Order: sequence, then C-alpha cells, then structure tokens
Amino acid sequence: MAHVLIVDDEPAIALALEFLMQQDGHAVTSVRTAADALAAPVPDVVLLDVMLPDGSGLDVCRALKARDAAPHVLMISARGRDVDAAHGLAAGADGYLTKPFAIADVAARVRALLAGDA
Amino acid sequence: MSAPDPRDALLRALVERVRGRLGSLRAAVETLDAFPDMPAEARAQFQAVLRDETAALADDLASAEADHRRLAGPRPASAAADVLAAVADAVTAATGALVAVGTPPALVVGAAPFDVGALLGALAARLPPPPAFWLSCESTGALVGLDLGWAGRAPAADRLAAWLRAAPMPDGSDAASWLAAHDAAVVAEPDGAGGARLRLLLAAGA
Repeated sequence: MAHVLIVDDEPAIALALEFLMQQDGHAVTSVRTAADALAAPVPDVVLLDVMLPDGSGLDVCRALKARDAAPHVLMISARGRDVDAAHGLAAGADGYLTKPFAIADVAARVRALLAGDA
Repeated sequence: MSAPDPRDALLRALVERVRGRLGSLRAAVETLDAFPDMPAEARAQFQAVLRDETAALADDLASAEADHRRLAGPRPASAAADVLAAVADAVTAATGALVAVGTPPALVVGAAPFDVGALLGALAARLPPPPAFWLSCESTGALVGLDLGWAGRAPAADRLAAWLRAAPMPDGSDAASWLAAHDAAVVAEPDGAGGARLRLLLAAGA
C-alpha cells in the first residue's frame, strides 16, 4: 500500500481520484491548496493539479522534488498545449496528464511509478 | 511587441474551463462504470457531479458567449441604401454583370456596407456568369433579408458552405467566420420565378 496525495481544487476530480486510489488499495490524503500540499506528510505519489487557488502546481512540484525522499509527481491539468506539459516536466514531474483523462490511465501510471520503486 | 488579443485570452480561458469540466464529467462517468457496486452514497455523489458539472458547463459557455459579444463591441449600423449600393458595386466589379437595384427601404442594417459587398461579391464571382443580377432588401422582423437574384440555378448548400469558407473578408477572416460573428446567415434557394437568389439574413441595426 502506498500513500497518495491528491492536490486538486476541483471537487469532482478529487472525488474520483480519491475513490480510484482507495480502490487500488492506497492510503489517500486529499487537499485543495498549494499550502496544504506542502504542509502534508511526504507521500509516495502526488497527483497534482497545475492551477491551484493559492499558487501554481509547478511551484509545488519543484518544492516537493527538492525534498529528501522526493515523491513521484503526476501533474494533471486543463492546460493542454505541448508547452504546458514541457513546463510540468521541467519542474520535475514524472508525468503530465491533460483533462479530460481516462481514470484507468491515472491508475496505470501510478502503478508504474510505484513499480519503479520496487 | 503587440498587446495580447483579448479574444485569444478569452478563448484560452474557455478552453481551460471546458477541459476542466470535461475532466470532471469523464472521471465521474468512468468511475461509475468501473465500480458498479460502489456504495449508494458514493454513487449519489458522482451522479451529483454529473448534474452540477453539466449545469456549470452550460453557464461557462453562456458566459463566454456574452464576453465575446462584449469584446466584439457594437455592430455598425448602416442604411440599407448604402449596403445595397456597396453590394451592387462589388458584384459588378467581381463579375462584370449589371446589377438592378430595387428601391431601398428605410431600414438600418447591423453590418458595414463594404463587408457585405465583399461577401456577396465573392459569392457572385463563383456563379456561372449571368448577364445581370437584381438586388433587393426587406425587413423580416428582427432581421433584414438582402436578396441577390439571377437567372440560373442555386448552388447546392455544401458548395455554398465551401465558398463561404474560402471567401476572404476585409478584416482578414473568411465569410463563414464573418457570418458567425455577425449572427448572420446566407442561403441559396430558387426565387420562385424560375431563377435563384442568395438571401443574406443580417441583424437589423439599432
């Protein structure tokens, strides 16, 4: 079982991701702001929205990746241009998904990231 | 460096909002499909997401449409006589044919004469050249109908649509985009007297 942190201020997305990750057997923490994301215990995987009410998910990603035992970060955003994905990856993200995404894709990517730790 | 076009910013914001809404809708639908045995309370939450996000999406689109109208600003208000004169000049220039202009009614049209002339001139140039056109204008309630007729057959709707997409307008757009931006439409139809006409429906000017 891994610890997954969901950072998204869209309640519907957060609800679906929470349910999905719990069904995969993970412990889930869900927050809506950049500040709460940085205050949460360091998880194994972060599902991180780019546009947060109090800041940029890109900044959150950089801060998380600068920590010891940095978590995997999968960015999720409504910004769908190639340059947006490039910014996410440049910030250290391990992947970038554009909304609307397939929930099966999220689950598969999380499994792949965790399998890389094994 | 030129200032960013506010219409580009509006479009980008709309795309991001709609992507977000679609993300919520897709996630909810896929979760409901993937977990048919989920507890009733969770199911109700996802069903509420479908209702709420659909309503929010409709609100977003209505808001974007209103913003677009605000950015477009007021439409020009042109006397029908000026519009008819501009169309006659443009059609003659494009085809070499004479244009018989009916007596212009005392109407105001919500479009610039030069633009309307460019549009109908471009369409007339696509027709098998008739010796003459006739041009008239009438009120149809909130709209003004401007008819360009000739002795011949009306082009098929798909051909007319292709012509509209290819016809350049003075503002750099194409005729199809110009029509959409002006809440206008053009149809090709038999005129009931053995000929054909292009009927351009425009908003009446204030």
